[in-house]
Amino acid sequence: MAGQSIPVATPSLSFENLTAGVFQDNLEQYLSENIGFREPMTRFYNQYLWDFFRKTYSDEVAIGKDDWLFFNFNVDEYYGKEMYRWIESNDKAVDRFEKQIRMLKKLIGVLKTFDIDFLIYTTPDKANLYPQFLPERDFDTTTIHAYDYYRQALVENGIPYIDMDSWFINMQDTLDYPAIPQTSAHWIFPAVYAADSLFSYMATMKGIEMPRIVIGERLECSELTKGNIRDLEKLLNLQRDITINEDIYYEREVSIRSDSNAVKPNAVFIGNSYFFAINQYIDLNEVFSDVRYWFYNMTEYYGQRLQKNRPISETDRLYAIVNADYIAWFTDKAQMYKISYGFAEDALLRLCVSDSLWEAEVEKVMVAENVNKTQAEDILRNDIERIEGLGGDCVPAIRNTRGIVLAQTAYRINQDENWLNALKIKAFTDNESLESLVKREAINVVDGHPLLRDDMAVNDSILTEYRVQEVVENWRNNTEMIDIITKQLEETGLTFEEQLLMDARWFVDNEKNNEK
Amino acid sequence: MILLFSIVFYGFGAPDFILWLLGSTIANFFLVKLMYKTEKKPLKKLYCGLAISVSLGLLVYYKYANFLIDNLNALISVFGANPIKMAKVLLPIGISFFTFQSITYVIDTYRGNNAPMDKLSDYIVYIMMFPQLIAGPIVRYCDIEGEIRHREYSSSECLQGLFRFVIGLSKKVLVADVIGAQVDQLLATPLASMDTGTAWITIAAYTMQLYFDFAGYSDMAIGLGRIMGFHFPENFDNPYNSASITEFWRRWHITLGAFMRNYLYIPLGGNRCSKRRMYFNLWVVFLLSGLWHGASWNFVVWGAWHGMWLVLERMGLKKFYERIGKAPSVIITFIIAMVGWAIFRIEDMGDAFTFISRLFAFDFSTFSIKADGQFYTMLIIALLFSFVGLFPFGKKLQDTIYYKDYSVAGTIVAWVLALFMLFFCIAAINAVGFSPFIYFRF
Repeated sequence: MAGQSIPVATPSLSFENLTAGVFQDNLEQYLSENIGFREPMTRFYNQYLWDFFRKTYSDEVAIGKDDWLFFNFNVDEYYGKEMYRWIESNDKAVDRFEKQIRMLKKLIGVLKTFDIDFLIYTTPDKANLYPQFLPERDFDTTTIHAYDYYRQALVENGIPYIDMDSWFINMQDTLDYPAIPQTSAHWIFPAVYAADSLFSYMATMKGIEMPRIVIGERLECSELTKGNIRDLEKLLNLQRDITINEDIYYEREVSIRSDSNAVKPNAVFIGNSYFFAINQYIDLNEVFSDVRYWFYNMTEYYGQRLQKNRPISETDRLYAIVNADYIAWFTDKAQMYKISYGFAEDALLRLCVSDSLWEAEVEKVMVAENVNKTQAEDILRNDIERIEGLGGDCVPAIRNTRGIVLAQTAYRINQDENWLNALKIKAFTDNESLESLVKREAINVVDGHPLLRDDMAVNDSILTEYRVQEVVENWRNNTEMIDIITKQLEETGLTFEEQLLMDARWFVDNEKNNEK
Repeated sequence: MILLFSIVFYGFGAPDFILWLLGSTIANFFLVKLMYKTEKKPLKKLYCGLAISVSLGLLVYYKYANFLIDNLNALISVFGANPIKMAKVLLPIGISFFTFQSITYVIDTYRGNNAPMDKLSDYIVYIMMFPQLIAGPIVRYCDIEGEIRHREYSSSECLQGLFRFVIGLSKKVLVADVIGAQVDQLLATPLASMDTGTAWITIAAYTMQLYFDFAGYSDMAIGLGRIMGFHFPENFDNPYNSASITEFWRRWHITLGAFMRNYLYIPLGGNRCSKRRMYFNLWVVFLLSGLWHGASWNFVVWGAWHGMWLVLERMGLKKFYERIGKAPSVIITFIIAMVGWAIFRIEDMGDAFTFISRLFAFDFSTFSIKADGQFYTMLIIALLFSFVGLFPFGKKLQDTIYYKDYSVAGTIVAWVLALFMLFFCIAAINAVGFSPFIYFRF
C-alpha cells in the first residue's frame, strides 16, 4: 500500500510495560499493522468511500472536481490556508522572508567569488495550472503567500529567478495533454521543455555553449511514466484504478547534442521531487560533467543517472559547492516558504566559518542555552547572524580557506586521470574508499606531505578490477540492469552475483576495446 | 472461562484498577452474605450501608474528587485562600456501570428479592462479565440469576447473538464514527458566528452520533451476551419516537432509568407523595443522573433540563401533547432532547449557551457547513432508522431484524449478511482507525 508506514516492532511484555499501558498501546499498533488481510480490507473500504462518496481518509490527497487529484497542501496554498501551518502571523512570515533574502544575497556574493552562479527555479503548481478542478473551499485573503512575496523580492534584489509556473500557465494550451496529469502530483514529459529552458538560461548566465536537448519522435509512455501518471492516485490505496484517458499521454525521444565548443559544467541542484522527472527523460551526465541532486537538502542523488543516493550528512558538501559551476534551487509555489531547505545557511557556514570558529560558537550556545551539541548547531544554523562577520548586509568574510582549498585540490585530483588511477589501485588493494583516499591526498598536497600516488605503480589489471567493481556497484542501483541480469539467470543457471560479475567484466572489456 | 477472560479483559485495558475492582467486588460479596445471614435489622442495614459505601465510595473518589477539589478551590479563591493541591485522579473505565450494578445486587438482596450467590466466582462473573462491564446495560441480578449458573447454547442463539453484535458494531463504526468526525470539526469552529442551519445540522448529527454510538455498544453487549447464553435487558427502544420526555426516559438508556426509578426515585417517595415532593424527587433523580454521566457542571445542567421538562409534563404539559397529537409531540420532544444534548456535549457552559442561541437565532444568511456525502448519507440513514419505528412497517422490520427466529433460508442469509457486515466494519476500523465509545468516559 502507498503512504507512510512506520514498521512496528513486536511489543515486549513486562510488568512495567503492562501496568503503564505501554504494552497495550504497542500491541494495538502492532496488530493494526499486521492484521491478516490488512491490504485487501483497506483497499475494499477505500474503494467503497471512493465509489459512493468520492472521499478519502488520506491526509495528503484532496479530491477535486471530475476526479482530479491534488496534494492537500497545494490546495490549501491556493486558498490561502497553508501559511498558518508553518508560521503564526504575516509579520513573522515577512520577517523570515526578509532574512532569507538577505542570506541569499550574501550567499550569491560569496559564490560569485568562486565563479559559481546561483539561480532559483519554480516548477509549475498543479492548483495554479488547473484551478477549475480544485475542490470548493473558502479563500482566506488575510494570509500572505510566500510565492507572491518572493516573486517580487527576488527580482527586486537581482537574484536570478525562473518562474516556470507562469510559463506553463501561459503555454499549457499548446500541450496535447495536461503537463501534470489528472491523477498525478508531478509533471511528466513536459518537464523536458522546462529543462531545455533552464539549461539555456544557465548557459546564458556564463556566456557558454552547453549541450542542447534535442526532442525527437513521439513514443509510447514508458512503464515509469505510466506509473507516475497515477502517483497521487496510489496514495488513495484503491482496489481499482480511477478511470482516466491514458491514451492522451505520450513521450518523445530525447537526445543530447554537443557542439564542438560545448562545455559540460558541474551543477548542484537542490529541491523537490519535480527534478526526478527531468532526470527520468534526460541523461544529465551528458549535459553536466558532475551533477548532484540534493533532494530537499536531505538526500544526495549522484552517479550515473543519479541512481546512487546517500544521506546529505555523508556528502562532502563543501567539495560539491566549491567545485560547482551552477547551484540551482528547485521549488514550487506551495513550498516556497521553505526557501532553500536550509541549503543557504549551510553553504554560508561551510564557506565562511572555519571549523575552529564553528566549534567555539557551538560551545558558547551550548553553555548559554543549556542544550546539547546538536541542538546548539540547530540554533546557530537558524540564527545565522550570530556568526561573526555575517551581520548586516556586508559580504561575509570567507574564513574557511583551508576547507575550500582542500575541496578544490580534491577536485583537481579527480580530474587528473593518472592521479585518480593511482588512487584507485590503492583503494582496491587496501580496501579503502576512493573518496577518502582523494581527501587524504588533498591534505598531502596542501600540507606538503608525500603523495600517495607516488607510491603506486600503475597496474592495468588492478585498474580493470577496480572498474569492474565500480560497474557492479552502479548496476546494483539500476533496476533495468537488475531485470536484464535476472532474466539471464534462467538460461545460464548462474547465481545473481555470478551473473552480475560476469556481465560487468564483459562490459569493462568492451569499454576498453572501444577506447582502443 | 468467562470469569478468567473478563478479568484479563479489564486488567488488560486498565491494569491499575483491576485490583481495586476485584477487591471491591470481593468485599461486596462477603458483606452481602453477612447482611443476608443476620437477622437483626440494624445490623442488616449497617452491612447494606457498608456494601453500598464501598462501591459508592470508590465511585465518588475516582469520579468526583477532581471535580470537588476544583470547585472548592474556585470557592476558596474568592476569599483569597490558597488552593488545595491534589494530584489528578484517573477515572477507571466502566466504574459508573459496575458500581450501579453492584448496588442493584446489594439492595435487591436486602429487600429480599433474591438470595445472595453462593459462589464468589459467580458473583464476579455477574459484576465483571466483559460484554457489559464497561458501558452497560446495567443488569439486575434477578434478570440473569438462572443464566449465571446454567446457560443454554444453541446455534440459533449464537446466530442471533452474532447478528446483534454485528448490528451494534455497524451502528458504531459505519454510522456513529462517520457522523462524529464531522461533528467534532463543526463544534471546533467559532460557535458565535455559526448560522442557524449549520447549528441544527450539527446538533442533529450529534444526537444521531450519541444514539448510534451508545445503542451500538448496547447491541454489541447484548449480542455477545447472547452468544454466551445470557439474555441482557434491552437498553434502547426507539427513544426518538417518544411523544414526551417522560416517555423518552422509558426508551433511552432503559436500564439506567430503571435503576434510578427502583433505587432512588421510589425510595424517595416516587409519586406516592405530595405533588411538590414528587417534583422534588424528579429533580433530584435527574440532577444525580446528570452528575452520574460526568463530573462537570454541564452534565448537572443537562440533568436539570430533563428534570424540568419531566416536572412540566406532570404539571400539565403532557395533556397539551395529547391534545396536539403524536407527530407534533414527537417533534417537540426530539427538539427538547437535541437542545439537552447540546448542553451534554459542549462542556463549557458559555459555549453551550452560545450554541443554543444560534439554534434559535434564525440566521439563515449563510450555510457554512462543508461536509462530504458520506456524512450526509449516514445522517439521513441514522434519522430514518431512528424514526422508522413510528410506523407499523418499521416496527415489523425491527422485530424481524432483532427478534425473529429465522427459517433455514433466513439463517443462511443472516449468516452471510452478518459475516459481510463484520468484514465491512473490520475493514473500516482498519482503514480509518478506531474511536472509543462515548459512554466509556462515564
